Amino acid sequence: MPVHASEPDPDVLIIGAGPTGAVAAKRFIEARLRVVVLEQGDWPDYSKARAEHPDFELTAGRYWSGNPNRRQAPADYPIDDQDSDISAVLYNAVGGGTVIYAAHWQRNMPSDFRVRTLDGVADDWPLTYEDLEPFYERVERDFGVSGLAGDTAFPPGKPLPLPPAPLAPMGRRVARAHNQLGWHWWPAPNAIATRPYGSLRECTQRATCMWGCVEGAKASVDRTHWPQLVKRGARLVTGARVRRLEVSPGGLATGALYVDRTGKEQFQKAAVTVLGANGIGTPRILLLSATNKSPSGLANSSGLVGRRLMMHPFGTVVGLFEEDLGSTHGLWGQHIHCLEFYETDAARGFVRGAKWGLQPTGGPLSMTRSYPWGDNPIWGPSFHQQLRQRLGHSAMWGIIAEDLPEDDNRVVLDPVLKDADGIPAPKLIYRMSENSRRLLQFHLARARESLDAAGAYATVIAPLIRETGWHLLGTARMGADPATSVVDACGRCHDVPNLFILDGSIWPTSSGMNPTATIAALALRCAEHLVEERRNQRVPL
Amino acid sequence: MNSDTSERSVLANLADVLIPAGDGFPSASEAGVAQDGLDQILAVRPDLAEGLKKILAQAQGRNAAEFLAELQINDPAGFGLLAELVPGAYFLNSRVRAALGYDGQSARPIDPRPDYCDDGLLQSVIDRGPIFRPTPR
Repeated sequence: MPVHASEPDPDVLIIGAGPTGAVAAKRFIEARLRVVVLEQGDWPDYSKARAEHPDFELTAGRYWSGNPNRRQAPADYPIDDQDSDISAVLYNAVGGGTVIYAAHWQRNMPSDFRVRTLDGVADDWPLTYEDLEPFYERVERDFGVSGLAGDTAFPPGKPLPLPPAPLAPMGRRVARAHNQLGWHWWPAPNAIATRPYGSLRECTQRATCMWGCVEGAKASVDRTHWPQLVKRGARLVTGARVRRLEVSPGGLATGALYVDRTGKEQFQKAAVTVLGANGIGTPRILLLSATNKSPSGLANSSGLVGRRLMMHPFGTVVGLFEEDLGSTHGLWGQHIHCLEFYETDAARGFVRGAKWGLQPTGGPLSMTRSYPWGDNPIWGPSFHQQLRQRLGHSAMWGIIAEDLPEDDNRVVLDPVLKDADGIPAPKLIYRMSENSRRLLQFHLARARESLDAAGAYATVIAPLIRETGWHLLGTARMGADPATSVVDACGRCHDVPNLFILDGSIWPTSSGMNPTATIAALALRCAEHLVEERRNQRVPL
Repeated sequence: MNSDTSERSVLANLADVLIPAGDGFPSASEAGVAQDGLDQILAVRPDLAEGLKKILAQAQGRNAAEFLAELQINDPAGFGLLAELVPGAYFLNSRVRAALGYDGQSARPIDPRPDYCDDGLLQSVIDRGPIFRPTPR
């Protein structure tokens, strides 16, 4: 919907229609605030989701690819990742990253908020698990999360709104093995509806969750939030790419200059501006908004905008089983998770840990690819034998490794590369740390033991691949001290008191969990605070 | 891409090196990879056409196995294109799918029975107790 000059200025301008923007907008609309949202992408086109077609595996990677450099859709901006060990994975559309996420709904553990106190590294968060818990509960209802209360890896909590997905044959095998090993496992939490729930339909286990959920069972916010929010008055402007934020002489944000779908520049005023453009898009906008007063970028007196980028190095171990596990299908998604080695044990030679999620391996074309099968050549005379060994007979642990913050891992503006509107593109400078390498090696070895114990007659540790940067965190960290942080514990920029950052950029540390649950809960907590304090909020005249 | 007979013949030879007949399955060419399969693939993945044409021109007149071995080393992206296109077309063949017992990523409704309760599976985890470190006070 275009923004018309006759419409009143909004109370809140939100940049980005992903999970952060959706959760915040819902709270603002409930509080009867006027909300405008600028989203550079369009609504996802589910007519391009081909799970029901024989060519699904061949076509899924085009429209639904998470790498914008590969996808090259009109809404995408290029990302220079030549100096990064990992390529960023994101989706520029209404729904943002939730359109292509696997919907593993993992709360952080209490220790994730106290990394400095407990492990002597990085930083504590300016809030605790207990501070966030009520907000986890609220967003879990909004996202229709399925799972089972009582997980021994977390403090006791209320039941989730939907029952968990089945363990499936693969999950039962691994669960039995972990019980023998004395290792943790639990029916996995997913933002995937196991029963009809609100706007969501029941999952049908096609294992196509990341490439366009045709059932409408996965809780992506283009389905769970935005249609209702638009009906309730949110003005969602698609095809709107923000060029920069503007600031008043008094140092308050006045709104955003953006390029509309026709290529024309528009200015959207607002009393308060909220950034929810992810850990790359948000620092990019702040760096693009440099002024004479803030030559290194808006809200960047700390010099930390863009720094401390964390992307979660990702590993995979596949097990081959004699039994037909039916693993062409299931939730992609996860059936069980394991947090046995999540907490720090200094004797391992590294700090922090990782979360494992057990998932299917997909259809026949997926059995022939170098990922996750590595340099185990399938081609030639043994093709059919190997195909039969893999198809439906394999299960996969996906491992999310915690990444500690380092100032040199960062997002900067590329001096040459620009997007289609001539706006400087982001450049990633990221190297995996020695701690992350040791951590991942340890977990890959334990995951192999897990599958061995479950009866796998062979296991394959997948090669590390670049296109696994789904989790973009840390590039505008929160904290109490303006000298060492960009925003406070409520997402308010220290330097610009009516500019808020509510996305994963503000995480002081990355945890070893899939982040959407905490991104959503934190966005709600910050939005709630903004609503409560709105009468005291400084706004431009 | 309008593939001529010669190009299809080259593709068939290359495809049969990757996927020969065996174990009751047809070879790639027998499954129509270089015929209907190719047409179906390029209808939904036209982006593959240009790269394929280039590879087929290079392979013309060469021993297929030797050419593929060299391609894998010297042009991994080109080999990757064939490694996507050939099995992609092969698995579209209904005879192949039937032999595999694979009916696509079909809908399989969730069984509402809570299988995590089977054999006391979950009770074992509960009995082992909490594994998280609480927030320090």
